[in-house]
Amino acid sequence: MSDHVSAQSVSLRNDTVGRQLNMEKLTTVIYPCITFIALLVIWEGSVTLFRVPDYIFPHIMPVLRVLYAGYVEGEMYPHLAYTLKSTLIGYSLGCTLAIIIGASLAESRTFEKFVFPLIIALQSTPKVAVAPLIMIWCGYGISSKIVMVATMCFFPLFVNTVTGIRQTDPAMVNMMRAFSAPGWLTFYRVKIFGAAGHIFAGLQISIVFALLGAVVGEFVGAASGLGWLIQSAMVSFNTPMMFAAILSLIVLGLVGTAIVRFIHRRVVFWERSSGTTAH
Amino acid sequence: MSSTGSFHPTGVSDVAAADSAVVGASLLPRSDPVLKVNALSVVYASSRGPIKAVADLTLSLHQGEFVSVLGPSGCGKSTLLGVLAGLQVATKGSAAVFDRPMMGRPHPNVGVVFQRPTLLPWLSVLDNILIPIEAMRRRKSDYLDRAHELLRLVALEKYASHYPAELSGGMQQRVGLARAMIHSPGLILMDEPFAALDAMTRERMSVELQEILRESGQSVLFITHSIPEAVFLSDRVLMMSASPGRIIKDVAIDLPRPRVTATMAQSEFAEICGALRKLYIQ
Ligand SMILES: Nc1ncnc2c1ncn2[C@@H]1O[C@H](COP(=O)(O)OP(=O)(O)OP(=O)(O)O)[C@@H](O)[C@H]1O
Ligand SMILES: [Mg+2]
Repeated sequence: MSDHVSAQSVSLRNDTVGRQLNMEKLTTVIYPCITFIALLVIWEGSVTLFRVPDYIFPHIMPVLRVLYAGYVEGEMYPHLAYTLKSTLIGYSLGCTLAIIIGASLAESRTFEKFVFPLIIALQSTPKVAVAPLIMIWCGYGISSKIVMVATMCFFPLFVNTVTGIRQTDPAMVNMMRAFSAPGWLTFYRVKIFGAAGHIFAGLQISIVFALLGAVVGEFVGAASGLGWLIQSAMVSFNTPMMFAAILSLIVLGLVGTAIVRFIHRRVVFWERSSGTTAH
Repeated sequence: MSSTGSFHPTGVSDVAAADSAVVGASLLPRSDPVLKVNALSVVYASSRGPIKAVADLTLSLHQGEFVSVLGPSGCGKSTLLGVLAGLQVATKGSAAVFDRPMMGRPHPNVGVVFQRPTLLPWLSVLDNILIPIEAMRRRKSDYLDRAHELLRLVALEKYASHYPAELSGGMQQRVGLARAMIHSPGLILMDEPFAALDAMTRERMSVELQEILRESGQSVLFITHSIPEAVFLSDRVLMMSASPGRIIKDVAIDLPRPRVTATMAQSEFAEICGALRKLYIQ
């Protein structure tokens, strides 16, 4: 009898715990939605209330109309594709280089001495300032955008790769040495995996930088792309178009980040189980 | 060790004379020692000037012997092990493993168990155990049987495909032990392998370690700062002075083997521990 009662109270407690968990999940979805809706209401309300003209700050409706024309009727796709293409190619290029050069620099003191001052100088260069130069060197086609993207997303990932590899637990490296492991094995078995959390964090930061690079490249000179769309809309005070393009860029950034985060959690599974997920 | 005598504190403070004075050790056939350390000194350079970690340390270890090095924290035990594992170099004196002088390069016939398990979190237990094989560029597939046998020996046969984070501290340390034994080294070096474990697990691990070694018959240099642990496991206990470390006593432990959990409750065991403790206080 008493067993029965205690079993019941246990299941009761489990129920409340379960309910709390569900509430927790629900609120993490609902609360940001409320914030978002509130923002839309404030936006529409104040634009209407203060009679702000559309060319300064558009109502929601014209923006939706542009989005509809853009993504349902398809006017936006060529631009989206152009920006996406330069971003993806440039991102892959910049990130590959960042990981290779970062890893070599972290591993080889000699290489570090050769290139470190150069990299510091490049890192402190405002990358946007060299965009016009890149146009002259690479032309107004997509290659200049690719180079711009690669330049922008190189440094965050480069820094993270170096830090990640340098922070390898010395006890692990000693362990490998004690078993006569050659350097390449220690690098492959210990350092790369040990740095994986940092590298993925860098990959995530680099996504935003990559989009920034693509947009700047298109600002400086292009014939299509979301950045070009924003700039040409500026000339005609087409703010709804600008809003629509900016929204598209935000979505690109969010989707890219979500994808990298998903892969991060899949690949770096051991950090999750020890409760130290890197964001 | 098969000597039947009881506790013989030799009271030898002169290290050079230690070998000949230890009754237990002298009963062994005099093969070339597995491990020979002669007047070893290690000095660290630091910003506050040189730090002498080990001073004029001499010891030897023979085939099949289990020798503990017992000493207070900071006396240079890990430094000694570092030299023997080929991870650091001596400032003065010499250390030889299987007749090869240790000059900062590891000897392939040695396995090391560290104070922390140092398992790679991204590898399964099985792959972790096979790391030394990979390091020696041998074929891993040739060692799968041995790996599974070792897993059985350390009572983890069901955990081959688990990851280290899924194991308790004691289980992880046992994986570390299996890793140190995968290439059947003639000598195993252990640096306080059970120091991070709770007292109960620790006692159980001592018993298990003894069982495992009874099957494999390897020589072991075991570093610890626990007197009962040293007494329970060892054929000889070497006591180190406080920093800079030297061997101040070489004590043969002649408790009959196999020693079991009940051994720790015997008055003889307590006596030896007490005597060692007294030596320390002096
Ligand atoms: N890399 C280092 N640089 C400078 N001094 C060091 C270094 N490593 C150790 N020491 C010094 O050498 C001495 C011995 O250190 P060691 O780690 O060998 O001690 P230990 O006996 O293993 O101690 P514990 O039981 O706490 O592990 C200590 O006084 C320590 O301060
Ligand atoms: Mg130590």
